[in-house]
Amino acid sequence: MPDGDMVHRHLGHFYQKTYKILCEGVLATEDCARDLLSRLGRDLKQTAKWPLHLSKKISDLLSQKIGPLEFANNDEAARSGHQIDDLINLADCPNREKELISRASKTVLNELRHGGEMDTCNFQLAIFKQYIREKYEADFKERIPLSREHHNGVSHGELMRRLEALEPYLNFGIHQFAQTAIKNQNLDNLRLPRQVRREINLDEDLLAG
Amino acid sequence: MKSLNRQQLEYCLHFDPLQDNPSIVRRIDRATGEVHRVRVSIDDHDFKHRIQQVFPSVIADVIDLAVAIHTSDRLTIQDPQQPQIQLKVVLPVRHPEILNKSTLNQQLCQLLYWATGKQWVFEFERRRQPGRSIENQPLLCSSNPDVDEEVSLWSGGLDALAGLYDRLKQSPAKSFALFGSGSNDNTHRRQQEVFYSLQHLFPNRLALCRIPIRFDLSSHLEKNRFSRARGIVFMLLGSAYSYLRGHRVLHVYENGIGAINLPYRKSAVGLDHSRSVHPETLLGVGLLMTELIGENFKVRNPFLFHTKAEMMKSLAEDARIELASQTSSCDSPHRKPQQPPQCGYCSSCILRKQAYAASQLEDKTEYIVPHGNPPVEDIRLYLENMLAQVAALRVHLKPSNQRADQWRALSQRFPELNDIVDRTHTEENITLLEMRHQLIRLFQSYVSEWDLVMPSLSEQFERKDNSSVVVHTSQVTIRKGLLNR
Repeated sequence: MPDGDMVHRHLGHFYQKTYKILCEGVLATEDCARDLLSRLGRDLKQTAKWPLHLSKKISDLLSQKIGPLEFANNDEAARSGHQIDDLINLADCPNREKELISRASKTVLNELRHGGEMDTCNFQLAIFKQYIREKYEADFKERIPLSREHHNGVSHGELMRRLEALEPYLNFGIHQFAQTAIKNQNLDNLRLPRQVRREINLDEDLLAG
Repeated sequence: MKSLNRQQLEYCLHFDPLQDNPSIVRRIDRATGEVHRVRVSIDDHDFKHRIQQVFPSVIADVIDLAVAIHTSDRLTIQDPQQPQIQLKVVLPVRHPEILNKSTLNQQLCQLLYWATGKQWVFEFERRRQPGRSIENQPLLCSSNPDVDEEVSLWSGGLDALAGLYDRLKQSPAKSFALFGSGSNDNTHRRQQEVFYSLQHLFPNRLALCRIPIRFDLSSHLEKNRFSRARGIVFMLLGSAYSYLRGHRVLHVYENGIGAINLPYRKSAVGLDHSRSVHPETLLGVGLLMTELIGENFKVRNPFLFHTKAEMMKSLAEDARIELASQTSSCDSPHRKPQQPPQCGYCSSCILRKQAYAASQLEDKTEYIVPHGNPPVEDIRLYLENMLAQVAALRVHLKPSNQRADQWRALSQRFPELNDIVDRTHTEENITLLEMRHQLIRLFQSYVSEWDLVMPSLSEQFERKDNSSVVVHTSQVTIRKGLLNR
């Protein structure tokens, strides 16, 4: 394409272990999800300070236009898009984070524009949650190489199925991360969701192969 | 929150007045105080092909500005994981009172931030030296200003050729003045060769102007390989040429898929994909020129709603096989002996092959894949990424036959599409809804083309001993597929 594209060849070092765990398929789905969330949380602590701050500013901007009809108006939505860009451009943070918070905000704006239901009292939650999801997809899910065969001989299709199985846990974890960050207005205490205790099956033969 | 030692990321690019001979540029690293000197020159003698007898001094400033942007972007590297580097550009100009106007300055910096991801600051000083020789030579006789003419950029690529060929055929009375920068020797030569071939087919209807920018004494400095300001520089120089030919429009021929350049996967973020010929970039350059010259100026891409294969329709109808094979599309041309120069596996080469196949024009281009010795690296990388994008487009266009639902799904996956429509539909002279429909049609056509050519194109990327057999088979398969359309 014009002037060349940069395509990411490998998964970043930060998520290599999670990738291997997923490929090996030894851990239970919930444990895999917890490992992934734990890494995502550490990544957010390093990089999401400005996006959290920006999500508040963008939320304040959208809250001023609270009526749903305003977002259905294309001129108003276009104006909001420009205003979001202006806010983001002023921030002094890496371009990658700016682009991700921009994607997140524009996705939320698009939902509003098409009459999507959203808690209009808490746009920040919607935006920051979407930012975390964008980050997860950009840095992990959609950065997994598109090779036919992965670590431990797992096929790409099988790996994608395993990733899909994590979704309910990830959604819950991302929601919790976003809620905590917004409540504290910082990323210091992002906790993993409480682990569901498995019931002990007294009839289970622990020695069985 | 000021992060990561802002001072370490600042550069000042101080330009001496740009003359006929190479001029000095000082790159000052604000953190270390290091000063590097580079020489830069522009050969603008081809601007004698103009209609105005007197060279407008504001146009000379546009040229200098383009050189300054090109130089500054090439000599500084932006890491996307770090905060933006700040560039301060100090440039002597003839009209500081125009260029220092806050609205214009702001427009310029915003446009460059959008295209390069760097924070630009400009300081325009009054130029004390006389202008370059081209400015001081009044024309003795000017060409006819009443001739029906279109000025367009000329890269020597397949889109430029396909677009021009189509326009030449559609408007038989029109002349075309082409503008190329041709700073690279190979590109310069190729632009000329394709131009001569076209001139032979369409005598007395074509003119070519080239204004190369060259560096000297710069080998000690690492260059920015992904110079994202390239498109803006090219358009500014092309706009200057258009103005000198008496027009207020510059044309850029680029297929819509390449121009919009959506990310292949979500891992592609921001400037991983260039915005060189993005509709918002064209709009921005047009607005900037309007501010500079004080008259309405536009940069238009008549092929925004065409796929590359659709652009090639006229070439295919006339079976211009040899002509098309003279062009180059490769993002990283190889220079190894006994190897074809075009790689055949970067995204531009793949789109070229896809367009050839879908337009049913025989592809006589020699590529490393499949004609040469394939490299050790993964040659499927770009193909797999492009196919992932096609798959995403297919999924998001499918859920309904209702365009409103299709747009909702498409813009949910690619929210940047809303910005394009919101900001440029007026420029395209169509309503917002019409533009959405046009874009839906564009992406649908693109997906359909891929559905037809994908199996045969993928075959080229399987490592086989007899590559020529692979090509032959793929051509036959493509033909069959298209005949069944």
